[in-house]
Amino acid sequence: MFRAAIRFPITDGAIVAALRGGLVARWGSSGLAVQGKLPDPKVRRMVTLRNDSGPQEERISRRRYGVNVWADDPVDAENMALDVLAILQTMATGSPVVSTDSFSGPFEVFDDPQMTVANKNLTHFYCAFRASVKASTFI
Amino acid sequence: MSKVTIKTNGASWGVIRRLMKSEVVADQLEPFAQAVFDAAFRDPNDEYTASLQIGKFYSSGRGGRVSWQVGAGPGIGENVEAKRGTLQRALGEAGL
Repeated sequence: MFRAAIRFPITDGAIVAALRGGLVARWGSSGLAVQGKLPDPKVRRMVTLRNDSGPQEERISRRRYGVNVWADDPVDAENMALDVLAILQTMATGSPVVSTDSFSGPFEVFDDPQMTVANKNLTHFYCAFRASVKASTFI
Repeated sequence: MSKVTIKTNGASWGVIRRLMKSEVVADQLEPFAQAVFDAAFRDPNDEYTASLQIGKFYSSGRGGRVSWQVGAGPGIGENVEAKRGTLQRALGEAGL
């Protein structure tokens, strides 16, 4: 039986863009960095996204993601992590992410060595989720 | 403790409910849990792999389920998960 080749899209950039848009709307853009890797120099509020990948079933790929959140205030850090999970629930519009689920966290992580920005200790929270992505026919 | 849980899915009828926490179902789930454990055990942090545990749990009541949990020690588990996502990757490697 003939089966067309399929190709999955990149999702990291779209998820980072959705997180950045949602977080800037709530927290402002000053001192906020949302990207794949930690910024250099560090700023007082940082969010990084890591793609842990996952299995493919037919035309759906279920990719697991980890999100690290740092802020110079413990309450802000937890609130930002909770905002991240809320934004992720609303970002699955079908292109490229079909759905998001399997949310876990956020839980606090104690950095060793302690991260500081402008002589203030940063609080670190971590959460994880799964994004389902649909393949398109590869021509 | 940073952990992942593999459990049976929803059921409505009594007979299925009893099956959901049966030894038969537990045996069916064990290879999946073991695959996650084996994948997580390849983490380069020896302290982390030494703290890895696998266990079978039964919850009681109408919604009772049998589940397998793979987890690492408090503190070290959270750090490794935030840094490398070892358990999340292990789930993917196990096809879950």
